[in-house]
Amino acid sequence: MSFNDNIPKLKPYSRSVSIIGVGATPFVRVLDDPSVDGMNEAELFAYAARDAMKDAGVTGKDIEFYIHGQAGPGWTSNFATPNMHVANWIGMKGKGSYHHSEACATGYVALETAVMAVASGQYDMVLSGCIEMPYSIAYPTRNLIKRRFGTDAMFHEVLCSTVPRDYTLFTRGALPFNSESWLDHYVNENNISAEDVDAFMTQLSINCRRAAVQNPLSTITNKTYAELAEEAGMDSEYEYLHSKFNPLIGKYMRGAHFEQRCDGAAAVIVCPTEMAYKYTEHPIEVLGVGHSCLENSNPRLEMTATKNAYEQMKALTGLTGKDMDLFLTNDFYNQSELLAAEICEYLPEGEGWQYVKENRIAFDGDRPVNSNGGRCHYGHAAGASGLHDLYEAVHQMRGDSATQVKHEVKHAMLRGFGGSQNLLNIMLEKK
Amino acid sequence: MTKYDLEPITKTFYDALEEGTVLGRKCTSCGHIEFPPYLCCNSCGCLDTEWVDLTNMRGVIGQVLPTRGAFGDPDFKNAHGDYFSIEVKVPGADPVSTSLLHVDYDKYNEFDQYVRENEVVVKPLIIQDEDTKVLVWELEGESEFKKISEIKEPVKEETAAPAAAKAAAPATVDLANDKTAQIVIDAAADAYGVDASEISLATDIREDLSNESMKMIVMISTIEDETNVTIEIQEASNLMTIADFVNVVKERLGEETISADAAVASAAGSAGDSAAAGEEELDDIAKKVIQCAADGYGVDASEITLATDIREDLSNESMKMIVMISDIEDELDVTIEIQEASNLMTIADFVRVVRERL
Repeated sequence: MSFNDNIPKLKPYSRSVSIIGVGATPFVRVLDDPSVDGMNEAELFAYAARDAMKDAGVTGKDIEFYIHGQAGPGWTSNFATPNMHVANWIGMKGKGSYHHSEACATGYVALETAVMAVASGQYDMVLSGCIEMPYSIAYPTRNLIKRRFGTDAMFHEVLCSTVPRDYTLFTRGALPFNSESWLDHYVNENNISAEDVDAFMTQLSINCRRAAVQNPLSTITNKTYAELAEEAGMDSEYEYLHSKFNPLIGKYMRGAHFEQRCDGAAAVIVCPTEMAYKYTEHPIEVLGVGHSCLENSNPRLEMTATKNAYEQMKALTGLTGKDMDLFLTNDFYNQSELLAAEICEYLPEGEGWQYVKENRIAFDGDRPVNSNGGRCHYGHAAGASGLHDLYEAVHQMRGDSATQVKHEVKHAMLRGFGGSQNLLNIMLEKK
Repeated sequence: MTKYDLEPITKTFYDALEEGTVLGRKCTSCGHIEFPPYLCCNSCGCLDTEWVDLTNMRGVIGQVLPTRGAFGDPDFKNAHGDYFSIEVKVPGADPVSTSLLHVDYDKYNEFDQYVRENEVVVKPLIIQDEDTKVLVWELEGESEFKKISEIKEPVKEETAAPAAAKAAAPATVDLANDKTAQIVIDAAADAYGVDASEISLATDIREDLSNESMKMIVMISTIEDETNVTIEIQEASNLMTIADFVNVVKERLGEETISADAAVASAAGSAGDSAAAGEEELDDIAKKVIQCAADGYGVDASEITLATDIREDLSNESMKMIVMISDIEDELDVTIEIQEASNLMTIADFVRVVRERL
């Protein structure tokens, strides 16, 4: 018997819950961009929340409860109770709220917890927002408009702080294993040649960057690899991605396969589906959220827990990855795009890498994954990224995304990942 | 439940390592092994487990990954030698991610292939890691992949400090005749997309160029190509200025690092100050502060010196510190805010603050 046999079967919500509004600030780098200089946690949260309220056609008066997510309020902002800092900004003084932190999975848990609050019957309308400023962090006690760089050295400390310090951190094996073990396993299981691995990993970077460049919410990526290659006097994006501008940082991963930290926020508003029709003709129903957690001592935990969460949702809904029209996944390791899409049966088993190589998972391909460009090119504002993916999914389902896919999106699947490590599987259905 | 029902699990594990014993917990219902030891069973959910001696256990490697690049731990490697990240499967227990020491790192590819084709047995290895013994693994028996790394003597703090301090006095370097410095500056210019003339040895790569990690990675990759030295990404994350990078490269190439006598003297000076603090003859102010500390913390004044850390050596109870500073304020007619005092560590720190106020 394995611990995987103990994963619970999900039960349907007590009442159906739908999304009526989403909002997001652009992903920015506050300290690098004079136009947003001085912006801070409360403001970014408020802009995202207001955007979601405008999208839904509601105000703070209509919303009964709000939830605040931030991956590491202590790391970057020196906040202990950050939910208390935003009510005044969004017209919700006096209303109930709480804060949660699940590192990079925070934005996905944000939806899960908001849906539960409504599905339980306790509230009819809940706003859930996430904010993160890991690139431009606050000083511990100074005014929030005074900020400093969140550096790689700090980030490494943060990364270590997500690893249990009873045993796991001190074995030193967990962090390298967390990053590339699934890809290594996949490459060997499918006998993929070194040339093919290089080819699909290169194509991943090209696809993601091409989408991010076209997305106005990603202000940190402005040029495609083809344009960068031309600027550098190179003949092709392939040459650029194999040059000194993209060194190998692991066994398979190059620099471009790792997240790009930035600052931003996003928010979502949910209510009972029957009430949602008052606000929109096409509510987006949250069919459920699968959730499996494994800490870093577990080999290939991303693979195992992704499968666990997906199997929960498959059993609950009777839907599979094949039924989905779009797949969005947290890919701070870029290869997670195809690995997660394949284990969630969105791509055929053992063929995901070929879909990448043949450009079929690009936003304009037939099986689009991360149509916003993903964490490595669109950007990664830690706890806020999951809700940015949700924002993208909702707009794709409405048909008005900046990088709109070529077919109608009735069903979308999100795969959340983070927090050393929470793995979530979310299925959405356009009514 | 009373406190006598509580048994420290983690500490028992580490205490046993100090004695050369490896402990796990065994489920009293299904017999599943919890390794490392946890309280309850993750296989059948049983709430009760009991200690089991695993000192002589053997495991099999399920997967092996390299540890250089972005995801390994350079400090661990410097202290213990090259290592691989591995999955270990111990019969009866869940697989775990851990480390394999005493390996020939240059043979990673061959070893990886060998692991895929053979059952490679490993055994526990207890090592001293900073102030604790920790458990890693090594290959069982003789193996062509086994190699005990030569461990470099750790750089003493007094000599490490100048590396950062050297950046403060960059003017001593003649760039035209310093190929290493020029390579680093050119690599930075290339990576950060600025003209080399805008970069000096004092340039802070993040504050003055860009905080984008990818640019730093490109820079160190170029430096590595040009100089044939290795700079780990995590190591680079702690380097601030161009001079810091130049000095790391120079150290690896066996070149003389950038001279900065004033900065070195400054670093040594502060260490000297601390040492002197313990030996300094006590004046009235120091004596009064020590007496206030003795009263506040309920110890004899003879047990307190200027080097005494109030929290580490006396007590971490905030109330005692508050009593002490209140006493100091009465005795010496100065004000010390509680929040301010929270950042003071030693008796010498308090004496300094009082002197400043007087």
